[in-house]
Amino acid sequence: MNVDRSDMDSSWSPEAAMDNDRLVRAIQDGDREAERAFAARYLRPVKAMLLARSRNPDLAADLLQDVMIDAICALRRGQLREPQKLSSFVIGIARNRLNNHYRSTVRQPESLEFPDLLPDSSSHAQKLEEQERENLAMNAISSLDPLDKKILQMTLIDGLKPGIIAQRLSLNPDVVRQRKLRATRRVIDFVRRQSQTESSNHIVVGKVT
Amino acid sequence: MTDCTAPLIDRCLERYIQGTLPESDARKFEEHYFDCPACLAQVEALQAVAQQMGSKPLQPRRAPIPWPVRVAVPAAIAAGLVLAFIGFHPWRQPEQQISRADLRDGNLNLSLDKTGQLHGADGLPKKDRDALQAALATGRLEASFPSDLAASQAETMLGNTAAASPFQVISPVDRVVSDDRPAFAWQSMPGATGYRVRVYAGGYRKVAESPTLHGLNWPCPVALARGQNYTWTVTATSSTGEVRTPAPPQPEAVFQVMGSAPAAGIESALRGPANGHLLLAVLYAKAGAVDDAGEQLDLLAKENPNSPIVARLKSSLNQATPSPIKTKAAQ
Repeated sequence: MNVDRSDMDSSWSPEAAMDNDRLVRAIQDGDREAERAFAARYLRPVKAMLLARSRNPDLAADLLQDVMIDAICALRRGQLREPQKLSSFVIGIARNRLNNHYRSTVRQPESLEFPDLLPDSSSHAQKLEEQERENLAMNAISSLDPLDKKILQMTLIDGLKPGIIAQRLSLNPDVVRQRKLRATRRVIDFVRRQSQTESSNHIVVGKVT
Repeated sequence: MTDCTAPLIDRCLERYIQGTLPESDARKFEEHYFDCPACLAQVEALQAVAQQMGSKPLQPRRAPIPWPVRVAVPAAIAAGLVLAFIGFHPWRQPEQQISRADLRDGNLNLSLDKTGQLHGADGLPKKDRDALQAALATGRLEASFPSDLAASQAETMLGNTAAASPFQVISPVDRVVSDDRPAFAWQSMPGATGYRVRVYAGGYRKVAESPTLHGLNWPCPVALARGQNYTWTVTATSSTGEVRTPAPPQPEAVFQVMGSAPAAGIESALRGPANGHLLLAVLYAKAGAVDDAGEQLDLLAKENPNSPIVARLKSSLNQATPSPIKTKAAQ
């Protein structure tokens, strides 16, 4: 499948580019709040990317802080010339970190002072959030029809395509495609909907009424 | 499922989590979801589900090879070649033949000897053996993609360009489908309260129409005549009216239902004793069902990791496969 960059551009906007510009300049000027804002914005996508590419949650968690530190140190040095490419810049750093990990387990000492006010990805709140997402995922899986569950497992875990799954389960490939699509949507919707419900509940509980 | 209207997210998402999305597409998808909270949330949700489902960790997507291995493997290969050169005396073991290609394929152990003869497929009909032998000998799959489908990609509908739709059809588009009751899939349109699918044969003769649907896919309940091209549209209803896709100047969404003869051949192969993926790949490709052929090659690759012949077959199929139609909304 070929994906045009233009197919994926729906989130880009001139306002976002201006935000990037301000953020990058502020970090270069030594603004620690800007560093925190940067970390808050990129912790989740970087973690998702590291997990997707490493398939190892522990490794992803280990490398996450390294990536954020690398990125902020590079921004402090003014190494990003085009602030509108901030996300690509962070992605590149994450990819390099992961590649370096595979090449060698020896870490290079960092010459710059590390940012010390980053949100801690291993904080209690973060762990609670992850635990909650795991519970939601388990509930979502258990809500599936057994055949849908089997198809989703063969898809996500075994990496099989619909035609192959159809052969193994003696089903029509299009039936597999349809059930897989439905199961995927259902679990994603379940996790997202429940997450939003939990989040809104948290806000309500936190308010003084 | 999504608040994001960027096309192809659904397809990218699943394959990205699987680790099967091509590297270039994975990079583009990452650049997208880094700035798209809706898609990021979906990535995280599906990752959580996959983690809970998986009792064993998957292999890393693309682990660079450590340098000791990069040095050691070529050295070992070179040493092996030297040993093979020194130790190989054909007059000592005339009964042994060097195999040009070895594949484990379902219930078959296929091999092609240095004279180009196929072994391990004795129970198959001659035409199937010939097809397998040709594929293994040439490293190519003969993909006969229908010329009228390929031509349709370049065509655009005439009409008012301002009427172009804000959502797109997903599949089947510009493909041969093996099932005569194909499942149709499309993207969501913000604010839509329902969708209606219409399928047309030649001359815009309507052959199937869905009731009002609230999901984003519809399995066609009627069998479509085989060997024919069809076009299809989805009409979304919202409070502001109806929107149809594809709409001018987008190309029509065209597909072909595989002809009866190739479908029967594939059905026979599926029920046959071989249960071989290479034969199915050959038959699907020959019938123009390149996606199905690709799936069979993927399964073959799983049974034969790092097989150069499978890699060559996949490469030849990719070269013969037209890119999917671009059904972007008109700007």
